Formats: sequence, C-alpha cells, structure tokens
Amino acid sequence: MNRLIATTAALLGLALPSPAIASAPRTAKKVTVSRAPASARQQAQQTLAELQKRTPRTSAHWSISQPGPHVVAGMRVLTKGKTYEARARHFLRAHEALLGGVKQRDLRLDRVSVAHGRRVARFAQSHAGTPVLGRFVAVSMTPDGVVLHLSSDAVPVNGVKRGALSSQLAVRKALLAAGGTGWAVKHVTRVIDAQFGGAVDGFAVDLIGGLKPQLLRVVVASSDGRIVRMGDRMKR
Amino acid sequence: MSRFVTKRPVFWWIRAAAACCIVASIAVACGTEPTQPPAQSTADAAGTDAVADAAVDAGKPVVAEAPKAKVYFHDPTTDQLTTAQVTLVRPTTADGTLTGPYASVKNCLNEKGGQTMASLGYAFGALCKEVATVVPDADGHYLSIKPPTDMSDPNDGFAELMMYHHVNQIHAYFKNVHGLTELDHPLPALVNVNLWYDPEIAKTHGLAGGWTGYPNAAFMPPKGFKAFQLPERDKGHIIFGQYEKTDFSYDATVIYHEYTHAMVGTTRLSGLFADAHGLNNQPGAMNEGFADYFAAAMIEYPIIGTYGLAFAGAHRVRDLSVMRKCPDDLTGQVHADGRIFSSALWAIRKKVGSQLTDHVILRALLTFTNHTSFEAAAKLIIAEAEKLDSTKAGQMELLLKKYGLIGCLRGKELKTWSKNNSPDKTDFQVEGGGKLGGGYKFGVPAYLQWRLPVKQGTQAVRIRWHAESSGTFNNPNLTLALQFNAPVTISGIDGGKVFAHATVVPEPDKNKSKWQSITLAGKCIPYQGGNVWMLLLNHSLKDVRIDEIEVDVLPTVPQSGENLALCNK
Repeated sequence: MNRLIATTAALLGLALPSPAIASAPRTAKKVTVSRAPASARQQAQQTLAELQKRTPRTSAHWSISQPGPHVVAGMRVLTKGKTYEARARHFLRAHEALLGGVKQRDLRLDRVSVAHGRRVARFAQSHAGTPVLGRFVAVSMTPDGVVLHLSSDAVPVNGVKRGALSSQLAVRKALLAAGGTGWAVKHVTRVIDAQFGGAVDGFAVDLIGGLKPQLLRVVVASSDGRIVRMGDRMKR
Repeated sequence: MSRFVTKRPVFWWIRAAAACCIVASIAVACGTEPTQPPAQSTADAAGTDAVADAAVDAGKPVVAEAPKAKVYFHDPTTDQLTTAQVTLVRPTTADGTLTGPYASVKNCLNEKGGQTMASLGYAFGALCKEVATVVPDADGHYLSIKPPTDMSDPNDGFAELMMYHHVNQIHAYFKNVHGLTELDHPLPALVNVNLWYDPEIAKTHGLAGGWTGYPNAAFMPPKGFKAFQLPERDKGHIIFGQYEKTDFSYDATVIYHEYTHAMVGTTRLSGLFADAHGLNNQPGAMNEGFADYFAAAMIEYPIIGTYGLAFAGAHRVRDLSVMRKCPDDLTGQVHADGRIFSSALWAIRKKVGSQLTDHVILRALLTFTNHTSFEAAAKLIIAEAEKLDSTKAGQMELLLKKYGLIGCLRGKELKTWSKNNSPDKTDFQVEGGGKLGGGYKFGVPAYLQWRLPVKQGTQAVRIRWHAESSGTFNNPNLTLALQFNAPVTISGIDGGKVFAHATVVPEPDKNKSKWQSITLAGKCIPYQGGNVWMLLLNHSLKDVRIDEIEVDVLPTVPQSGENLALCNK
C-alpha cells in the first residue's frame, strides 16, 4: 500500500511525509530516471547561450535540483541603478530565466558585502512574502556595477498551499519531536522549505537545549503538522 | 548552590556533560574535581585590581599608549613554551581590562557566583563566574602576566591575554588586508569555560559532579548560551574551554578558526543537499576548510591545532601541506573533508603566491551560497583568478583538478575497512530522514558511493558491515542501489528518483552478531567483469554509522543463509 502511495505521489510530483521513509519497501526493484521539465531549464540555457555569445568565457555549473544554473561565472554585463541592489536587480530582471522560474521580485535584499574590489548583493528568496528557507541568490559586481558572477540556490515553489496549523501548535509538535526536556524556543518563523522532492509551507521552529547542547531547527508542515526535517545548526 | 529534589533534568544534564566528553573522544571520567565550587583563584586578580583602582584614583593613565604583553605566537607546543613580546591594541576600559574596539574578553573563573544552570525551574549547576581579571601592571603594560606553571589552571589570566591579542590580530587581518568589516564590534570572548554540577545530585545518579571542563571551542550565535540552560545574551560569543591540561585559548589557530566561522556567517556554506551521486556535504566541508585555511594563512604555517586538537589524538591535528584529494580522502565528515579544500588552497598559495590566492578566494567566497559545491566553488575561483592573471588562473585550475575539486566522482573502492585504521577515524555515515526531511522517498543517499572491481567469472561477493543506528537493533533499514560500470545516479525532478540496475536489501548477518550482510551473485555482478557501483540508501529517520566493512570474493554461489541477492527481477 505504501508503495502504491509512493508511486502515485511520485507521479504527481509530490513530497512524501517522513513516515513513508520509515516504511520504505525492502525488496529489490528497478527504478528509472525522469527528465527535467524542459521549459525553465531550456529558457535558462538559452539565456546563458546569449551571455556566452557576448562574453565567451562565461561558464555555468548546473544542479540536479534546480532548473536554473547554480553558478554563472565570468560574465561582463553592464547594469543601471543608483545602488548595488538596484544594479543587481536590473541584471536579474533582464536575465530572469537564469533563476529557473523564480521571479526577481521574490528576492529580498539580505546584504551587500564588500571586499577586494567586489560588491556582492545577496538576496534571500521568498514566495508570496514568505521566506524560502536557506535559499539565496548572490550577484557579484565590480565597483562600477558590472555584473561578473551569479550564484543561486533559488528554486521555483509554485503550488505550495498554506495549511491551517497555528504557530503555537507547530511549536508543540517541534518540542514533541525534539524529545526530552529542557528545550527553550528561540523563535518561530513562517517559511517555505524547498528541499529535495518538493516544497512545503510550514514553520521553522528554532529550539535551544537538548542532551548534547544544540541549536535545533525543526520544520513543521502547516498542512498536517508533520515534521519535515530537523537538524542541529551549531558550528563546533 | 541551591539543591533541589529532582531527577530527570539533573540526570539529563549530567549525561549531557558526559556526552560532551564522549564527543571529544576523551576516554576519562569527566567532572572528577572538588565537591564544592572552590575559590581556586585569584589572589593575583585581586591584587592587580587594587593596583588598577589605585592608578585610576591617582588620575594616571592605567594603560600605556602602546601596551606590551607576552603571548604565544602559535601555541605552547610549536613555540616550545616560549612567549614573545607583542603590542596590544589599547583597551578602552578605564581599568585596563581587556575590552577594545573589536574584542571584549572575560575569564570564567571556577568560583561561586556564575550564572545558574536550570531546567524546568530546577537549578542543578552553574557556569563558571565571568570576570575580566586582567589589568595592566603599574607601568601600564601587561608583561607580568605569564602562562601558568600548572597547565590545568582553570582561572589563569594568560588565557584572557592570548584571546584578546589573537582576536585583534585576526580582525585586523580581515579588515586591513581584505577590507571585511562585518565584525567591526567588540566580539565577546569567554575563556577557561568550565561548568559546575551539584555533586550531591550527581551522586544520586552515580556521577561525580563538581567542576567539569568544556573540551571544545565554538562560536555561539546570539542567544546561543541557552544551549547550556543559561540566560540568553544578545550578542554572539566565542567561547573556549579549559579541559584537563588543555586550554583552548592557548592555540592561536583555534581562535582564528572559530573567528573565521563567524566571518563566513550563516548565509554561506551552511547547506547539505543531494546531487546526482548522493548527499553532498561539500558546503560544510568548505566552511571548515576556509576556517583552517585562514587560520594557517594568518601565521603562514600550515598546521592547525598542534596544541588545541592534539589532546584528542594526533589524527585530529590538520596539516594543510599534506595533500588530500577527492575522492580518495573523502569521508563524509566535514572537518576531514574540509582538508581536501584547505590543502588545495594551500598548494595554490604556494604556487601562485599568498596575495593573489587570498584575493581570489575571498572574492569567490562572497558569491558562495548555502549549496555551493567543490565544483561550483572552483568555477568561481578560476573566474576570479582570470580577472587578475590568466596564467596563474591556469595554474590554479590545474591544482584544483589535481586535488579533485573539479571532476570528482564521489566514489571509493569498496574493500575491507575499519574506522580505527583509517586516517581520520570517522564512521561511514548515512544520514536519516529525520535530518533531511521527507523528500527522499527513495531513501536518504550516502555521501559516497562504493566501487567494487569485479573480475570476469566472479561467482559471488559477500559484503558485511557493522552498523549502528539508534532504535534499529543493529539492523538499520538500508538498501543498496547497484549500477554496472557507472555510478548510481539520482534525478531531482518529479520528487526525485534513483537510476540503478537493481536495488538489494541487506539483512542481519547469520554469523556475526550486530552485522548486516548481502551476498551479490547472479545478475547482481557483471558477467564480463567490471565495476559495480553501489549507493547505500537509508530508509529510517535516524542516521546509520558503519565502523567496519568486510568484503570477500566467494568461490561459489552460496545456497542459503548468506543473504543472497541474484537481481533476477
């Protein structure tokens, strides 16, 4: 039955809840590869080809989990704008296909970093005003605003529905999933978690404490309260 | 110290302290110190306080214009216990304690009065007491402050001095040499960190309690102190423990490493993702690699943790001049895999010069995101190098290829292996769905694939491993995807799929307790010979850790009892 659900979900392109992992089939089987959706990637490739025509040294690195390139390096694109954010947005608007289906208006400025003759505008991806967890786009420019490189984690998150789960209930679910006692809630953020296999609307609940001191992030789906993922964020 | 009749929170936190020791691979009991929070300090501090007060009262400048001090340039081991005179950034405090524009250092004394650790309202221990103890001598310098004769001194002021000097050094390096200003504030730093657990409560759980050393160093993000059940703080801290005879703040490379993590920040190189060949930890590995590289670059010396990491075993010391390459040296552990990146950067530095290397990689780093891989990083590094010097860019590219940062297939030959005999002594780990989420409906893939060379005519190959995963009774829910003469591949489209010749299921081994095994025969191995590529997939929520593997070519296909897989379906 689980196998049937898994197959159906795969056909529909849905993310499966964690319990499906725990009960995955343990029998031998053959599996097949599927093709990328043509349009977003093809448009990105076309835009890249145009850039390469103008600057032959332009090169790209692609990821299996995003339609657009992860890196485009070695460009030389003039931009207009009074600020580095405006110049980066000017570039992104003109080459939006490189974002693989993500709109530049869904990017919020995180910061502009400066070092050794580079100005890097870093944007955080959002969707309908909700931040997409851990997904950033960075545009590297010369001091006079010529775009040299693009680096992007952005992924399209169309069709994600907001569930009815409250943030209070999400915190309760997260504490339950974390187990034990002594967790303190640092903060709760409404997010979209666009991980491998699909995007989910939910809450990122940051907890502090635990058996081994941890900064634990638990993502809880707003549709049904399931735990999407859970991991320690502390650097040691 | 207040004592409360409570069991769970106390037991739990004492176990936490024990776990801390285990994490650091320390095979000794923790927390065997005195049964009362002792006043182990600080006649010196009290004395110097009096001097400072007197100087302030007299209206004289307490701190010299260019205050001198003696510190280790590197660490006690490298410097052979010899300190060198340096000029400190002038502290801005009235009494000369060590707070300046970019560092604010406090000691953490093993004394009563530290912040109480509590869980669910029950106090069960305390942090050491935070005090800035170091003040200048009467002449405005700090030359009287020397390393303690007892290296296990948990209250020494020399640790404060080391921290203050080296935080200012690394800050100046990033700001003045590279123009980075993101940490332009007095970064709080705490040294000699110890925790005190109430011994009477600990005793009821068969543990010693008392003062317990913190065997680590870390960057604590804002409010991160809650991790120790301590009140929140608004600013990020760097904290350094005193553990037995190791004071982590005596090692400049450890200070530089943690500071670099803070500089890289949380919006770069913090991701973990799947690519075509498995789970990819390269962002985290590069984060560690950068932290090691800039620590080494600061001192123009390639060895990290000669003193601060050696206490946990010589294999923990990281020498960037020793070549590590992908895929031969991949482990899946970020500190170990970071050595591939840092050793490549170090080789580039030696080849094309430090200035060009540092400029190029910092420019590239600014553009990195959370999912930047070795290959993507290399592309940005080369593109930046080409802007400055195309000849040297070519040399850099050759080295990046040589170290496997370009074109690396993350697969290693499968052979009999033991964690304890491996260079980094790290498990072969396969993450679980709990950490990665529900998207991996085909199972969470391992970081590395195995490649098994098979000769023509081979009848059967038995693979066994000792695996641990909590709650699975040593039979974790793993499957093994197989592909002939090419790696198993993953597609990220339509929810993700694995492309493999077959998938087989290991089961508990009949002859070796707590081991799993699978015997490949029939259509599971190529008749003509070749390579069988294998990718482990974890279908459970918990991670799986493999610490021993045995591979045996069998002369005949076994009949039964060997977890035989024929791949007929």
